Amino acid sequence: MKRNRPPAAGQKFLRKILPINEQKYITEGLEDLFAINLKDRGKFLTLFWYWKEILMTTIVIIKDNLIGSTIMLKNYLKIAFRNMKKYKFYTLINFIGLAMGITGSLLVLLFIDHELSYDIFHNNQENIYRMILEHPVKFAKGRTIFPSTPPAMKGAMLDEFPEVLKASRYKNGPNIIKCDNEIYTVNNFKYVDPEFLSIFNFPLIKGDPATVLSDPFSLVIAEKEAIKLFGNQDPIGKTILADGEHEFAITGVLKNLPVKTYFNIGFLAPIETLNSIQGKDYLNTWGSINYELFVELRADTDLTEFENKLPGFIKRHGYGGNPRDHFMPQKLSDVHLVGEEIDIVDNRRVQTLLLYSAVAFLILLIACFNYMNLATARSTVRSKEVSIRKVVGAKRSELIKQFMGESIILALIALIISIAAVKLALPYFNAFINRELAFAAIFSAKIFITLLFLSITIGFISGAYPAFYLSSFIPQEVIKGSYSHDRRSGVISRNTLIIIQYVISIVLIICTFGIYDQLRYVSELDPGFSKDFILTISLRDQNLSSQAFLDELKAYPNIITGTYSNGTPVKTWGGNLPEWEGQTEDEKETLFFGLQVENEFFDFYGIPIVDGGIFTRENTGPENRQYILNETAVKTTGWENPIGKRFEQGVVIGVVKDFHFSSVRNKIKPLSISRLSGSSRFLSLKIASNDIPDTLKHIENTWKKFSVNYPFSYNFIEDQINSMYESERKLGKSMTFCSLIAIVIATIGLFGLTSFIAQQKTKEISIRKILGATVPNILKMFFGKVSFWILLATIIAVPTAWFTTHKWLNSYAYKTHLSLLSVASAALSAQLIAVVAVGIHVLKTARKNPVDSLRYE
Amino acid sequence: MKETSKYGAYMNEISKLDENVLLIILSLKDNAYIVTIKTRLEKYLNKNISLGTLFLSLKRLTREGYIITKIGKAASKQGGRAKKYYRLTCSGVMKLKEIRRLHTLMWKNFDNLAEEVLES
Repeated sequence: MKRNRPPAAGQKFLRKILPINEQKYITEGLEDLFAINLKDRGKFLTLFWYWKEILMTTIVIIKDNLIGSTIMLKNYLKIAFRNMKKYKFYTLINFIGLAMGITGSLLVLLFIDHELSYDIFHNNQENIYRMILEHPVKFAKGRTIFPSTPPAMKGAMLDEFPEVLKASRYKNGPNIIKCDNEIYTVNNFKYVDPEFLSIFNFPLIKGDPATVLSDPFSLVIAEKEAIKLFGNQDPIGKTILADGEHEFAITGVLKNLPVKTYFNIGFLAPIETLNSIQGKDYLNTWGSINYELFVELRADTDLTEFENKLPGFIKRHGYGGNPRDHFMPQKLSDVHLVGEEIDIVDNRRVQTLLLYSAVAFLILLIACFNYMNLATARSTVRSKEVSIRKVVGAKRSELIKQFMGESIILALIALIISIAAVKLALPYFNAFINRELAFAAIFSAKIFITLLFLSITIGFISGAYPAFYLSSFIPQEVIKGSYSHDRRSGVISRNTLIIIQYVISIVLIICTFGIYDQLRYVSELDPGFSKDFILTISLRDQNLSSQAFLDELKAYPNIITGTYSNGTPVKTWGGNLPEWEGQTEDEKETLFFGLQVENEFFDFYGIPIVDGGIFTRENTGPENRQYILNETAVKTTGWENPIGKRFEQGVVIGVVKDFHFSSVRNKIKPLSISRLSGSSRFLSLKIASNDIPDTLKHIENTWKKFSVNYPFSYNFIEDQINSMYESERKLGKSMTFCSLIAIVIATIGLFGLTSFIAQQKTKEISIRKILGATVPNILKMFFGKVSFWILLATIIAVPTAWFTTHKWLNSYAYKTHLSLLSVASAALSAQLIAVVAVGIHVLKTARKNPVDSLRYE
Repeated sequence: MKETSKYGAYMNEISKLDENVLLIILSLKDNAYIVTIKTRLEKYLNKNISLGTLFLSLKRLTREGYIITKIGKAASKQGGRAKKYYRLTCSGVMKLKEIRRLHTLMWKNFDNLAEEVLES
């Protein structure tokens, strides 16, 4: 019997939307039909049919209700605007709250839309993939993927896979170019295959896409770079000198790239050029894996099957990397989201998007609550209107419609204000998120409809509660005056809303403090090496790696000392999977980071050697190489006495104390240091703390004496450490902003509410004063209540915030704890802000002369 | 009083659906309640008529006075329950007659006229 019944939820819902006197017959009828259907069609189809029935019925009934109401609409609108005009203060509070909330969500919405729409303008974008490499390195949770392939893979794929239609490699080219005797540092010089221009929609202004890249040393230049380099002259046929030795001739001009693309291209040269520079078979290797590869697949390709063919394919060709490396295609649309840096995929960007969406949602919620609070609090004002409407014949449903309509109108007006606010805020927001979001994107159909829907939903949600509350008044009681506006249910829910608002605000504030706690911890953390007044110079020119350069620099009194190295304490190279004495099978793929330094390095950076000593032999080859490991590396190998043990083909001669050579997000990794051999990449200089500009000038002048092809550049170690925590700082800033908005909206709401209550209680206050109450007595009366609310909010908020913050902190290997001070100051500031907001109004009322508010003749 | 046009039709037209519902109620005689009406209507029209649509149509017809409702006795068998039965009123029947009269008027000479058009 029971099994033949339709879902209870559907029946209950149906009863809700039908008029009382019809409910029974129709739901029962539906029940009968359900049973009949069940016999004929089986359970699944019947359920489908049932819910379709419910949906259609709902739509029809809503439509019917709407048609009937158009006549009253004009009246509702008129009353809504009159009310807004009459109570300007409350209208303003509502607008500010809603507009702030909508502005925040709008910005987040724009950002999300922007992030999700990268590289969608290519003709076959859904068939374009980037080949990525999953690397079985054991040192982090998640996957380690690199967007890199061997250079020979492209040709082999085109030959052997029928589903690969086109393919192009994409590789960074020279960083330094010279043109008309000017030297430029560029990061957008790329080597690609000629097919690149036919896979992707990057149109040429000048030149034929089929031939511009066919000869080595030809070059396609982007429009903006052409203007930078040659002004208004026609760039075709002009030449530029790259890396000081290779001359490229310009054959085409590329239209400037759209903003929303992963590619960063200013100069495009055919990748075959590398064969001409480095030797005939340079690109025909499976040994190195430094090339990004994009492929266009046939539309009907089965991706799994394609991916499964790859391991056999690379094996056949003698792939030189780790035998467990796994190649797979990655959709073009995912390329941007995953990030540009070759890094561990932890979907940080997606997480950030989710985080901001959640915060925007919370702010909107606070704004909605404001509206609900104020609307119900002001019910006294509207109760007579409601009663009269009811007496004249308005149905409850009509009143609900009226109040819903009002809040929806308010939300729509707030939307217009928000759009204006976004227009003003967008440049700052763009600078902050480092993107170029276009204001016009708001008016794209997708976003605009979402926005409209969002505003109407906001209006609906925030209007629903007041609408039901207001329409429930009983006319006789209201008009007779026996109606109590302080009905307990209304009061309780209003308090609840305020408490929820403050819970959200306090949680946001505590989380913000938590982020700053961690940032402070990071900046105070001893990295394990000295960083003050040390700058590093990246050396591209052989001439600069000579001792003569350093000697000449050291002659300057403000340059204390210097040391050459390959890598610095903040720039190590990774990807080394060493072998060592007594290594188990399990430890085979442990990633070590590497440094090549001179003996002075340890003193220079103040890195203590805890065991063994410094290098004693020149580093002439792998057999007689000496290694100094860090403590973590020794722990990884499991040696009790590391000195003299075999490491790779060399020997371990010392152990240094651990230092933080990467972000504290990660645990300190194993590091092997060997002696510098050949030319060095970095020069570290320790300079005196005075006259830094002069010192820098001197370094630059000396530089120019040694190198003509490369521009002078330097970095302070401290800046490099700071830049590791850029995303945290941004998070901190944006959370400050968000929590500020949240607390402002919540406080405005509280302010409005108390001002209203104070106004309502004017007579009560006056009588109390006449009977002898002092101003402090009256203040206490209000503060007691408000303080209790905020206290309750704090009690709820602290564990929530503690949990959230610790979840965030857990992504760090080295972390602080949420300090008690942060929690206390967040709670206290919320309390203080609330008390001030309430105090202003109550004080005004309390100090009034009772006569003014009591006499009415 | 309702105004009548030159040809005697009532001014307040009813929709095709309402007309069909009236006819079905008439044909169902004493057994016209929401389930039977819906089932038969769907069978004849061969399309899905949602309960909501039917309910609104019945509401309209009741308001216009073309049908009246009567709550039936609860059936004696297990799970039996009272149903709401619908029956045509005099004015409902009049309305249908009116519709048919108008209908015949409109379709008068259709065959001949149609032939003429087709031949030319």
